[in-house]
Amino acid sequence: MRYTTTENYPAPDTFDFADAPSDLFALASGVDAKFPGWDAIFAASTKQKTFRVRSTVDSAAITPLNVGFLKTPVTIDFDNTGGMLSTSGTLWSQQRVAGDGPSWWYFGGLFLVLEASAPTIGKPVGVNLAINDTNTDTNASITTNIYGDSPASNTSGEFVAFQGIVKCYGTASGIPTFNNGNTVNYVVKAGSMFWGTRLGGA
Amino acid sequence: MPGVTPNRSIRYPLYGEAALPPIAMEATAIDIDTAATTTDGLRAGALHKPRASILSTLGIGSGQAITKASITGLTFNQLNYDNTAAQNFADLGNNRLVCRTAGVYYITAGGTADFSGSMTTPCTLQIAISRNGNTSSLPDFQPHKYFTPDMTAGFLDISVSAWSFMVLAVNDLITANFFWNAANTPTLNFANAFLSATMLCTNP
Repeated sequence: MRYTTTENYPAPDTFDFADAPSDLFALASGVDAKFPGWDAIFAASTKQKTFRVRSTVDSAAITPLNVGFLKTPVTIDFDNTGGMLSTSGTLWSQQRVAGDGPSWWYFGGLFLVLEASAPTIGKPVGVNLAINDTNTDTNASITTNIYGDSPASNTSGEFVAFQGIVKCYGTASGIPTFNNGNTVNYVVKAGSMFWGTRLGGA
Repeated sequence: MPGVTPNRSIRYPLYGEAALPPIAMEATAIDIDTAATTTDGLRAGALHKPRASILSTLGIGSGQAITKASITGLTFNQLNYDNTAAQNFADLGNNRLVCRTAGVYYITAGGTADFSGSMTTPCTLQIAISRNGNTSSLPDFQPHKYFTPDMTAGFLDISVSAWSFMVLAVNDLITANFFWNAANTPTLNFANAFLSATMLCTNP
C-alpha cells in the first residue's frame, strides 16, 4: 500500500479488481477518520468560551473611598466557560483546560451606579476588574487591572464602562469592584454586569 | 455497498458484491464529496462569523440634528460591511442591524457630537446601544455617558463611542441612540455616526 504525501491517505500499489473492496475500505476509512478532527476545530471556533453575568438587585450603600461589589443574586445571561460561579455570583474563575495553552481574553463590563445625595461634581467614581492569574511556566502570580471611571455629574447615576484584553495562562479568576472616589454614598444598581470571551491562543 | 464508515457514513464495497469497481469507487467518491461539503460549511461559519457595519457620511457641520433632552435614534446612509450570505444583517433603510444568527455579539457605536452656539457648563452626553428598542434599562440598553464639567462656550466637537456585549436571538433589532443635556440650548448635530457588530460565539 502506498500513501498520499500530504494527508497520508492509502492508495493501492497496483490495481486489481479483486482488491477493490479492501482498497476502497482503506481509503474511505482513512478519509473518514480525518473529518471529526476538522469538524471539532471549526465548531469550536464558533463556540469559544464566553460569559456574561448581571446583578439582579441593588448593592448596599458604598461609602466614600470604599469598594463595593456586584450584589448577589445574579443572572448568568450566558456561560459556556464553566467558570462562572453562580454560588458566589460575581466571581469568574476559569480552570485550565488540559492541552489549552496560554490564551487571550477580552473582558469588559458596564456598571450603573447611583448617588445617595448630591455628589461632588467632576469627582470620579470607577470600576476595576482585577484578573488574577498564575504563569504556569514560572509559577509567578500575575494581576492585570482593567479600569473604567466617570466623573460624577449629579444626573441620577453614572454608567461606568470598562474593557481590556488580558493574556491568561488558564487558571485565571476575576471580580469587578466599584471604587467610590466621591464624597457621598453610592449603590451599584441591579443590571450592572461584566463579561468575557476567549479570543484565541497565545 | 452495505459497508459505511463510522463517522461520515462513507460507503465502501464488501467482498463478494457484484458492483463493478468503477461504480463502487463512484459511490465512495460521492460520499467523500458530501462529507467535505459539510465540513466546508463549518469552516465557512468559523471564518465568516456574522459581521456588519453601517455609517453616516454626514460630517462635521452637516450632521443629524439632535434635540436637547430627547433620546434620539441615530440615522445612517451608507452600508459599510455585511458578510452575511443574504446581506441582511445590516438593515440600512431602518437604521439598524437585524440579528440572523443567535449568539453573543460585540457591538459598537459612535460618532461626533458637533456643538455650535452658546454653551455653558455642565453638559451631559450619552450614546447607547439598544436591543429591540429598549431605551431604559440594562442589559438591553447599554449606554456610555460623557460629562463635561469644564466645557467652554462656543463651537466644540466631542467624539463619543459605546461598546456593548449582547446576547441576541434571531430577529433581534440593534439600534444606536444619542442623548444630551445642558444648562442652556446650543445646537447639536451628530456627525460621522457608525454602528458595527460582530458575532463572538453562537448560542448555544
